[in-house]
Amino acid sequence: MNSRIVVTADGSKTLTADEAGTEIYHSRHGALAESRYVFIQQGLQIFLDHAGPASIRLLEVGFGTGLNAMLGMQWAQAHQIPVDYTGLEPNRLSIDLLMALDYPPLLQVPEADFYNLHALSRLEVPCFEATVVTAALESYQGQPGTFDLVWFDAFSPRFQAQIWSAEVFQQLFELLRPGGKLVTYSAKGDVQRALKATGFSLEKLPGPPGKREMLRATRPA
Amino acid sequence: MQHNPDALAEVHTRFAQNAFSRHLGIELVSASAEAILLRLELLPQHRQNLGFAHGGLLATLADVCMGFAAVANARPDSHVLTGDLRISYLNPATGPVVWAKGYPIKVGSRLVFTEAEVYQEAEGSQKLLCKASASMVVVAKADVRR
Repeated sequence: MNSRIVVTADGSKTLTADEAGTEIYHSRHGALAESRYVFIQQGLQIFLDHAGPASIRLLEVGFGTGLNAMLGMQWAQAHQIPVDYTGLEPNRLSIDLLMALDYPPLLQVPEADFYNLHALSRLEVPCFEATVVTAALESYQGQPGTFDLVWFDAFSPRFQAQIWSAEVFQQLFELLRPGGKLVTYSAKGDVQRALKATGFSLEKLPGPPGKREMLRATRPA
Repeated sequence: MQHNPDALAEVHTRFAQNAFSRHLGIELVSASAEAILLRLELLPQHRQNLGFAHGGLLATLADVCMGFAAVANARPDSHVLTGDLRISYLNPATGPVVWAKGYPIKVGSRLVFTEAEVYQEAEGSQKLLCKASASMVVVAKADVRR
């Protein structure tokens, strides 16, 4: 599949995920705006608002371009809260696509941090230790009950319905510690039903630009 | 790993001055103490009779990558020269673009042990083309005779 660069409404770039270009890695209404809102503001930020753990174990389903991971690194360093990040991604991007995204100057993160995380699948910088696993969630053997937060950033339910199933959410439920959270950009009815069927309690939150709602799910304590 | 801003500045300066890398079209993607990433667009003159990238070209790419991985970790008053280089070719390189990562395994004052891998993209995944290792010799600038 030949991905192409798409410039989104806030000027940040993303990639097409199918030949037709109907599915893309982020929102057309703003890749950066969506990531900042869904995963940082409604995800990591809640650990500041509600006196969370001294360090945060974070699992991302869909490492993709690494945009969320870089924002997570910035957040961790700005707030001096150590984040231990694991990203899962079965389809790793080529160096040319990464260069075309132009994220380091946009995010004002060190170029080497961005490229090393992609190329070495490992990054250790102050307050942020990250590992990227080239695998789908189904084959990931994480330690149950240890993650504080899951970023569920898979392709859309319309494009990859099987990833938004109760079986997948059950696996994530077990990986989260009691009280742990999952955030995702989708608020589709099927997704809500699958999350509820797994035992998550759900919050519907106002969505990022271009979306009415998003979801935050909690594994009951 | 120790980050030495002077050493990284040295990588950029020396890379820009490296006539052979420039002649081949090798580009520096990023440089850090942990790794050097390089990119090369394969041109007709890079290919052997079967149309694959020449093995010597890939060895050069790995060598340059590992050499600069050593420079990024060596003393600023030193030069780095390849002491030995070993390479295993695993898949033919068809392009259109290949990229390499080089990184230090052990950093000493006289020797930096390094490894490199060269990849190309193939149907949405990264195909490993070759894997190399090298011992890079650290020489004081004053001791280099031209």
